[in-house]
Amino acid sequence: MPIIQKICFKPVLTGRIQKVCYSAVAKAGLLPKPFLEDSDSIQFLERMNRHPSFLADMLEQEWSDVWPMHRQFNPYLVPLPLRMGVTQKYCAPPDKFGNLELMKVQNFLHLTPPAVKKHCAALKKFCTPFPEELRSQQDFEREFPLQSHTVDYVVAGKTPRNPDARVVTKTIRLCNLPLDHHARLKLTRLAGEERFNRDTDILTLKVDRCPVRKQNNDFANYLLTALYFESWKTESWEKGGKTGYSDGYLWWEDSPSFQNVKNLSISWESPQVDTYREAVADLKSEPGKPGKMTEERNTAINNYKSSVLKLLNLPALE
Amino acid sequence: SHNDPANHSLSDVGLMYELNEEDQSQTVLKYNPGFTKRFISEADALNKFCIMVRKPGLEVVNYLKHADYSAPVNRYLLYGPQGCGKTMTMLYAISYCRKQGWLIFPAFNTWSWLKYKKEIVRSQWNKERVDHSEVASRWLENFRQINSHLLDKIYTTREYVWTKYEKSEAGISFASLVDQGIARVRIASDVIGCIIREVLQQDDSNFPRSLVAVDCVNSFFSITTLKIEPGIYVEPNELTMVYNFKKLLRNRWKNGAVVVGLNTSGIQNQTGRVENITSEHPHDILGPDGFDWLDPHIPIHVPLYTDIESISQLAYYQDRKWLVGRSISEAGEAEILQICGNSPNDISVYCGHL
Repeated sequence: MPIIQKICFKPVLTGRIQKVCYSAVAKAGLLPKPFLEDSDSIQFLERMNRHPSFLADMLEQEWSDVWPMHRQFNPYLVPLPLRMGVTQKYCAPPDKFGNLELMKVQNFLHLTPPAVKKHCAALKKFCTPFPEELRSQQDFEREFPLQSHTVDYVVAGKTPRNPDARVVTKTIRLCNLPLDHHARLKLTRLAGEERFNRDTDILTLKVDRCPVRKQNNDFANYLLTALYFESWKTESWEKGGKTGYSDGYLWWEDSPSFQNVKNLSISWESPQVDTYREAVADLKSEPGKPGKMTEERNTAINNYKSSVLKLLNLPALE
Repeated sequence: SHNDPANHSLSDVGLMYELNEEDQSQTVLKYNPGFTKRFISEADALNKFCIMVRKPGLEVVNYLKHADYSAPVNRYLLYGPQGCGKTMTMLYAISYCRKQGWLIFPAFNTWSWLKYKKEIVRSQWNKERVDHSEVASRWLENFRQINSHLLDKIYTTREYVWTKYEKSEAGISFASLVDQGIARVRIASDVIGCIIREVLQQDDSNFPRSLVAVDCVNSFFSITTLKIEPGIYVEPNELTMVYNFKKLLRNRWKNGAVVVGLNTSGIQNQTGRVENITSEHPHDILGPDGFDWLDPHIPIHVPLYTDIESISQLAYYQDRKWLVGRSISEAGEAEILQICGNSPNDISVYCGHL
């Protein structure tokens, strides 16, 4: 290492020789490259002198013609001051010339917005107009309630097949299926808690048990069909069970309070029954945190009380 | 006239309603009275047995007065914070009904039916049920005590066969039926079942109105610590008494009323640990099953004393010469009120004997 020591400790050479030595050593990765503005610009001019054509080419041509396809990074074609690589102390990252890191990574320089636009314009003549009836998201859902979701993996590797591509996920909003209270409860129970989102009412079936996507797709369809028809069956052991509001919904017509009110032999169409029903639902659906008394819960109790007083035709204390 | 709860009105709130000797002998039950030991000893010391007239009590009595008794029974549910007089409100309603000549089914501290070591035995009538004879016979004694003037006038409608050799003819009076139950502890639970059956299926116009007063009603929908076989806890529904009383709580019968109270103190789980329930919400305490059982009911909130009521309570103590010296000064009164914060139980404990 005699030369390096000489350069490091005695930087008394003339400018030009010093530049060359520095860059040569730095390229070998032996020494940090000092950040010197004028030295960089001198280097850049040197490169330009060595390849005089590249800037002129840039200015004349369309970028999508210069870089039509995916290709490896070429510092002489890309007119950008890119830098990449491990930074040494007090140094800028290595520049784009002869930079292996830049050449290794994937680039998307062929996918600039004008290039994509051009591509789309070329494809447009093969497309048909979008149906006018499908305006909103609700329209989509009405026409196509069942959504299927798969992922295609495109990769520049040894094999184009990715095992994750076989997974099929089907989602359906349960309000699109004709279900009564019992069938709905049974379907969500059979499918399981984790497959049914109560907030959005969406059932999600993710199938990955078969080796091929088509098999998984068929199985998902079979599963949904089986779930639907199975949930409409009422087995003998289900009759005694309670289906009150164990699923978090209050089905008043099935609840004991409905039966109790039936006992009262009052006119069924009266508005008192309606207010009573709403008050019961409010009280049971737990506004606020259970275990604590809040203003909301107090008003729910008071509403319930006044509705029951009306229902039973009792006067309040004067 | 003010000694009858029927005549009380909102202007009487805060006044004391005195139970005379005759009332006391019937209302203060021998076993599990609704009155606490503290209350009874305090009444002895003051030489006067008084219940304060409060708004929840007036409310219950108001509903009892105006209810339609040809319709299914109404349920009145007392709820509120601990130590605020839910049980006393119930006793007030009971004393009203007693004066009106009602048949009363008192059940206080029903936790004691389900907790602690009890003699329990499989029912002879139904092998799925469990009798506790001792509790049942004690309840019958209470029942006889509180309805002593009525039981001779009510008669059974059918024959009851207890064993091969023992049976009760149709048409005997309730008094003799109850006496039979107390004498033969084995059949006490079944006697209760018979009485309740008679009430539920009454069709005699002379049958008196019935008041079912169950305190700690949430115990019926909780758990027991009783075991009849090793390792298996008895469910509350398996107990004959609980099963029969729960029938009374439904609105499937007429000519009566149901007053129930919640109890939040000392809700135990099966390991004996007391669970803290901070809520006073009926749905929280009863649970969904219990709420559905009692639905539709009229919830009546029993709150803390109002300022007028707590001052009236102190004035009552001063009148009976229970509070003397510094505590009857204005500063002393203010101190007591400040410490107790209008809680009836706290005032009673703080002013009580050592």
